[in-house]
Amino acid sequence: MNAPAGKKITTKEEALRALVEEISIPPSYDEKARTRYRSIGEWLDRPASTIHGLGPVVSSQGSFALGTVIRPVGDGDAYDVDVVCSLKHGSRSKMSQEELKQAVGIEIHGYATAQNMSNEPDDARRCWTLEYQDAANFHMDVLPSIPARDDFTSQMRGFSPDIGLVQRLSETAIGITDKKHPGYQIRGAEWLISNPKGYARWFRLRQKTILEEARLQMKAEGRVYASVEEIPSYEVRTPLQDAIKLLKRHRDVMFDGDKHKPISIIITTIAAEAYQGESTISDTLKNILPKMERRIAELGDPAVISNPSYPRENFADKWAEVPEKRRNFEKWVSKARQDFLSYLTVSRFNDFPEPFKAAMTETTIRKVSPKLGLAAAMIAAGTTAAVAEAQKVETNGNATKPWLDIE
Amino acid sequence: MPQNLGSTLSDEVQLLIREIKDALFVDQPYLEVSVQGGAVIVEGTYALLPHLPLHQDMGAFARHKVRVTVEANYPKTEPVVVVLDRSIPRKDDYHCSSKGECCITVFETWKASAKDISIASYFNGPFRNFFLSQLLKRRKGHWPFDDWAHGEEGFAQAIAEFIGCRSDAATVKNILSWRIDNECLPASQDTQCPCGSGETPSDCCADLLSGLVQRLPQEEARHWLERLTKKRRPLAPREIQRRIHKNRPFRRIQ
Ligand SMILES: [Zn+2]
Repeated sequence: MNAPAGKKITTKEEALRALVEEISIPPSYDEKARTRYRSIGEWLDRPASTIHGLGPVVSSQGSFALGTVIRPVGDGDAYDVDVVCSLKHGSRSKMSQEELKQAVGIEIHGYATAQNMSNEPDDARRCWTLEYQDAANFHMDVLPSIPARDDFTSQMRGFSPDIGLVQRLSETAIGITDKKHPGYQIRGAEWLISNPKGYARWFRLRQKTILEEARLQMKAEGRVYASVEEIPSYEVRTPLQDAIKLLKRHRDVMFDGDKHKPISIIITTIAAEAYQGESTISDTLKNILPKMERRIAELGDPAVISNPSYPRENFADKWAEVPEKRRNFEKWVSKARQDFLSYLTVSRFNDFPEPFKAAMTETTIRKVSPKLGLAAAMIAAGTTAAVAEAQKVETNGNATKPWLDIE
Repeated sequence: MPQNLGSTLSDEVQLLIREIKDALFVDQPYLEVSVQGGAVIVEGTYALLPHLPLHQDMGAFARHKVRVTVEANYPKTEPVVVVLDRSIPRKDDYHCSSKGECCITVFETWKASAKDISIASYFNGPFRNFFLSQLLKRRKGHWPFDDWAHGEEGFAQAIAEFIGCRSDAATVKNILSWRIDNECLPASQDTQCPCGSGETPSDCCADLLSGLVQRLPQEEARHWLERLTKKRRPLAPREIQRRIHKNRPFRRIQ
C-alpha cells in the first residue's frame, strides 16, 4: 500500500478533523440530497400541480438542515433525509390533516411515477417516504404541514412568560399531520405543532460568534449573506457541528441496532446548550461532554428536555414509559465523556486509545491512522515540557511542597 | 459507569460529590467517584496532564493508580491520598509511606494561604503539584518546588514561611503563642517582640504581626501550636531499623 500523500497530522485537532471527514456524509451525497428535495419542491409547485395554489415550499429539517449528517456505520445503510413540505396558504379550517396528507400524497405519487422510482411512496404515520435506490441510498421523508402561528401562540400562552420569544418562535411554527391523532380526519380540529425551522435558527444562534466570523470571511470572498441565519448549513463547518457528528458516531457504535438508543435531537440540543463558542472541535468536546453528563444526571423525574423552538414539547417524553431509554442515555453520555477525554486529554496526538478506536470504528481509524505523524521529538521534549509546567505553577503563585508527616 | 448515588446522602456529601465531579470529570476519564461511609472516594488512574495549551498534544506526563478519600467536612479534614501502584517509590524520601500514603503538602498552611481552597483547587494545586514534583524528581533529580523537612521540622518550616519568620521551632512557637493571646498589636512599649529580638514589636515585627492577625484566626493558631508541641510517640527500635533500611537504597540490589 502506498503511503498517503500530503501533510502529516501533528495535532489532536487535525486528527479530529480527519476523523470527522471520514464519518461525514460525502459532499457529493449531500449535494445530491439537496438537489433531490429541491426537485420535489419544484414538482409540487409546478403550475399543473394540484396543490400549486396552496403555495408549497420544501425545505430540509433535522440533521440535513443542521449540518450534522453522518455516514451510517454499515455501508449498505441508507441516509434518512427529512424535509418539510409547507403549504403557505393551508389552514386547518380549510382542511383536515388527512385531507392535507392525501393532497400532498397525490403529487408525491405523481413525482415517483415521473421519476420512474421503483417503489411506491410509503404512507407513514406523519410523512410520505420516498425510497431512492441507486448509488446514493436515501430515504426521503416528506412531512406535509401548514403554518400554525396562532395555534402556537395560544398554546404557549401561560407556558412561557417571554412574549417576544413566543412571537419570534411562532413565525416558523407549523401544524403537522399524524394518523394517530384523534382529530386526524376532522376539519378545524387541533393539529400537532412542530417548529423545525425555529430549531435550526436556534441552533445557528447558539454558534453566532463563530458563524459571524465565517460570514465576514465569506463576504471578503464575494459570497454575501446578510446575517448568520441566512448562511446555508452546508456552506460552513463549525466545531459544534463536527463535535455533534463525532458524538452521533459514538452513539451509533455503542447502540448498534438498539431501538432505545439515545436520539440525535437530544444529543444535539444538550450539546448546543452546553456550547460556549469554542473555536476547536477539541475544546468544544472538552467543554460540552462534562456538562452534558451533569445535565442528564440532574434531570428530575419525569425528565424534561424542552425543545428550544417549542418549549411545550419534551424531547424526553418517552423516558417515563421506557426507563431503558433514560438509562441508555446516562450510560452513553458517561462513556462518551470517558472515551473522548481518553484521547483528548490523556493520549498523545498520534495514539488513539482502544475505547476511542472502537467508538470511531476500526474502518475509520484505519483510514486516519496512516496520516498520523511521528512523535519522537515530542517524546524527547517531555521533561522540558514538564519543567515548563512547573514554572507555570510557580509563576502563578501556586507552588506547594511535599512533606512527610511522621507520627 | 455512572453510579446512582441516590438521594439518601446528606446535602453536604451531595454537594461535595458535585464539586469533585465538576473538578475531575472535565479532564480525568479514568477516575470514578463513589461514596463510602460518609466520605467521597475518588479512585482509578490519575493522569498527570499538561495545563499549558502548548502541550495539549503531548497527553499525560504520567499515570498513577490512586485512591483519594475526601471527608464530607472538607476542607476541615485533609484528604487522604494513597497511590495503589508502584509508580512512586514507597520511601520517606519520596514523601510516600510504605503503605502508599502520600504526603501531598502541609495542608494547614496551604489552607491558610491559598486564594482558593475548594476541592477543585486542591486537585489542581497541591495534588497535581505532588505528582508533577515526583516526575521531575525522578527525571531531574530534585524537587521542582523544593520539599519540606520531614515531621515537626517541616511543619515548623511551613508555618515560618506562612508567617514570614525564621523557621526554628522556638521562634515559630513564640509567634503562634503571641497570636493566640493577641487580637491586635499591643499599645504598650513594655512588651517584647515574640521573635526574640528583645525589641518592642513596634520597632521590630509590627507589620508581620498585624498581617498575621489578619491572616490567621486564633483558633487555627492554637491548632498549629498543639500539633507542633504534641508529644510524639518515640519510635520503636524495630521501626528505626526499618526506616534506616528503607532510606538506604544502596543496601538493596537494584
Ligand atoms: Zn520581631
